[in-house]
Amino acid sequence: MLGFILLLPLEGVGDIRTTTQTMTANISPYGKLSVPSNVSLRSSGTRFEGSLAGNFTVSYWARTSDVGGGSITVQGSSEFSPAGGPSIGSVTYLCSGATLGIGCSGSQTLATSTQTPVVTLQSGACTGGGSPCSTQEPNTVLLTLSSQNKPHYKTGTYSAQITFTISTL
Amino acid sequence: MKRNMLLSIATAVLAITPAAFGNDSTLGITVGPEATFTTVASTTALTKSDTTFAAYSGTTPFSYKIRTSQSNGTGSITVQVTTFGTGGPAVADLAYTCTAPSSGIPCSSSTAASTTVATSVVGFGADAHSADTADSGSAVWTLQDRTGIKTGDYSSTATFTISAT
Repeated sequence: MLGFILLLPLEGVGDIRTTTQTMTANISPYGKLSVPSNVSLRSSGTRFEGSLAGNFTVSYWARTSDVGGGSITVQGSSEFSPAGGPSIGSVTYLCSGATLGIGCSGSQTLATSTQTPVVTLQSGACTGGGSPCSTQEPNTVLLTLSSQNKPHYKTGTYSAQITFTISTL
Repeated sequence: MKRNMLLSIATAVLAITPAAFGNDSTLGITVGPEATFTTVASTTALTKSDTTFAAYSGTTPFSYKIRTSQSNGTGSITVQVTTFGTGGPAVADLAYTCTAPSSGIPCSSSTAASTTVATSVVGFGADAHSADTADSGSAVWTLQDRTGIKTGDYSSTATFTISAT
């Protein structure tokens, strides 16, 4: 009977291999926003001295491509109900303090037929984390809404739905 | 066995895909009763054209905006005066009639002025509305000329108040 002795080296032979692996990350433009479920406008007095006014903050998260951009818009989804009070077209708003992008310029008027601007997002814009993105997270913009206070409006509470949309590219 | 794996991120693929996200909010507007004067004549001269003790007269025009509640709302324009001063006419001899547009009901007849209570000029019911640009009314004053009044100039302050509920 023959015996074989398999001799193994006490130390392994060095074995260095290099491999290259390609990893892809699909970074898409992204947008999300949050608004209060209810926004109230009311007179600050009882002598028609001011408009029916209120303000609220729109919070948003955004990422746009280097060649893209984006926007936040608002549109009236319905007219005020019941009838006898203000109309969507009587409501104007100002945008201030946008922490990412550029807030709307001057007084804007709400409409049911078209989206009106709130914030314009530049290319390469992104929320949070600091440079090159914003330091704030979420980003915010303050909207100040007002409607003329007309004597012919009947007293009561009127409501309408408005829709905010953030689009990124 | 020592194995080194070199991971290399060769490419980051940027996919440019439009993205949109929407969120709704209910916009509520509360409209309450309000009232204000837009103009009230700052002075009203009581004059007369004769010298036979006929009454003095003058008109105080005013403009106002008003909106009263749809249910159980009311509103009013009232006036209260001060005395003319020593030797002058008596407030008891001062009265007025009123004019107002359809948004309100003017005082029904000649109303005696008072230094102690505010007296009605225009009354408003529920769901009353002036024009958006304001309505106009007036108080037409009459002051009896008594022989006992000393000659001279006299003045009284008439305070108009408008309110709405």
